[in-house]
Amino acid sequence: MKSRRWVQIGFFLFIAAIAVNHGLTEAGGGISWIPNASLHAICPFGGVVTLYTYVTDGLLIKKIHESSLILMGLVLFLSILVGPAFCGWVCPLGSIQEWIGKLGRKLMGKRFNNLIPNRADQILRWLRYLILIRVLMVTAQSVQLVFSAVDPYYALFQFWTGEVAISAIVVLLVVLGLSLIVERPWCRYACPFGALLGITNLFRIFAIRRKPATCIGCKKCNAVCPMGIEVSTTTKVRDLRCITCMECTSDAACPIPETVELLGGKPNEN
Amino acid sequence: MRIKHATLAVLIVGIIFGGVLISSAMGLWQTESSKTPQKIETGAFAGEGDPVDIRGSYTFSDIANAFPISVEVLAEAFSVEENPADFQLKVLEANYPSEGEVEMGTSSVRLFVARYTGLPYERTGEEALFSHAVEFLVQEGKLSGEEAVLIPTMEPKAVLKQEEETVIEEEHVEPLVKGNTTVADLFALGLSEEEIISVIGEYGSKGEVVRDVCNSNGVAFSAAKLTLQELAEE
Repeated sequence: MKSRRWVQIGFFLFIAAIAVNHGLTEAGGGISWIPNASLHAICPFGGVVTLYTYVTDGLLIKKIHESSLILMGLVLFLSILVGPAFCGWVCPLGSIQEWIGKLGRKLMGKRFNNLIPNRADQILRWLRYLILIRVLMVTAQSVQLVFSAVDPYYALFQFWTGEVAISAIVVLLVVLGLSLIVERPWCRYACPFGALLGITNLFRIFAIRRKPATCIGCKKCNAVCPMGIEVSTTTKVRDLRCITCMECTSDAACPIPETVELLGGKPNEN
Repeated sequence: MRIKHATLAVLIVGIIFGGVLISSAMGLWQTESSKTPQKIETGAFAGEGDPVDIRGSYTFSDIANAFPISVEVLAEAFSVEENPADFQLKVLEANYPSEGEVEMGTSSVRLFVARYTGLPYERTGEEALFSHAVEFLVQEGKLSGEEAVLIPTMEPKAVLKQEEETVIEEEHVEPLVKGNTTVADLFALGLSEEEIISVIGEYGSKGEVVRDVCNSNGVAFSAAKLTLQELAEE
């Protein structure tokens, strides 16, 4: 699992460097070998929220640029291929929640990830779809980047600039705080981009598959899933919450080789 | 077909960075707004850059790329001595707060560029120029003596430094309606649709820039923004 960790760290540092360098460049300095772009310009969700105005009027919402649309396309392509790997491998907000979650697991012990009742979890998991619909509607009506007012990703990398709304900083602090008791709380219950990408779990080309013939039912796959999916009860993970982190696979938690894997095609063909 | 961790890592990095590289090579990767002014659509100057579309975010370098005028001429005309290529026009307004109806700012640069290049530009009356810039245009035969006396003039500060301007800019109250303000921004400021249409005319969508709507409706943006500002402050 070292490869995922390195990819996460790499993207986190890369985005942080771009954010800092953009601030330095605006102030008349900047480092020439680090890309200079605003956070909005390198956020694929910006492409999603501006898609309506782009299609209907040929306009991009203020602060959003063509780069956001391109990133949105690349991330959607990746998701159709292997599921929402962007969430599990790339998104810096997901990564920092995960890292804080490791601390929370040590502090909370068995209570970590078990404080939210199953019934509440089953209802709350749909909240991010309501947020997605609401954000898209309000953005289309107002032609404003309304989500930035509560966007914890923007707050994470811009909190020192004075350009971040207090509400976004509060959301970020709440998310980071909740990460101590539940893994990836923003991803599970609130992220509108994750909600959109999650839909690709229904038709992705490569899916997480479990081979019942060799599965010993140890349920280690369930225990390590950061999104709370019961992998042990399915042969093919179609759950909208899967982020293709591959923690459940035979390369990681599953103790039996070639039992839980990221596979394309039908299982009996592999 | 099976995908292992390391393979997926390569796939993710490859698709994202590969996609960005390919789109960059195709000229599609844009992380900031274009600094190219709109073209004049009709008349003898059709196809030329329109000085009216020069924005406060442009630098002298951006203008030199879009119009037949050099950074040196602009720096001399607006008395910018330090790093003139990266000098943003909006800094002018911060350094020379408007005096009544007259301002030394982006509109001044529009006027100067238009007269220097011979491109059409209708004065709104609010554009001031430094007296030495007016004399320069007259000497170069680019400005008539009749018009020269109609242009309000100011005297430059000794040296314009970006650092000083930043401090002044912090103290300067940002106008509510600026060159990049959209119709949606006007709604966000609390203006009604009737008020907006009465000032700038009919618009296509809320995402349109107010300046563009004014231009297409034949409304002077400089006058419209003052009216809109007053309505927003009510």
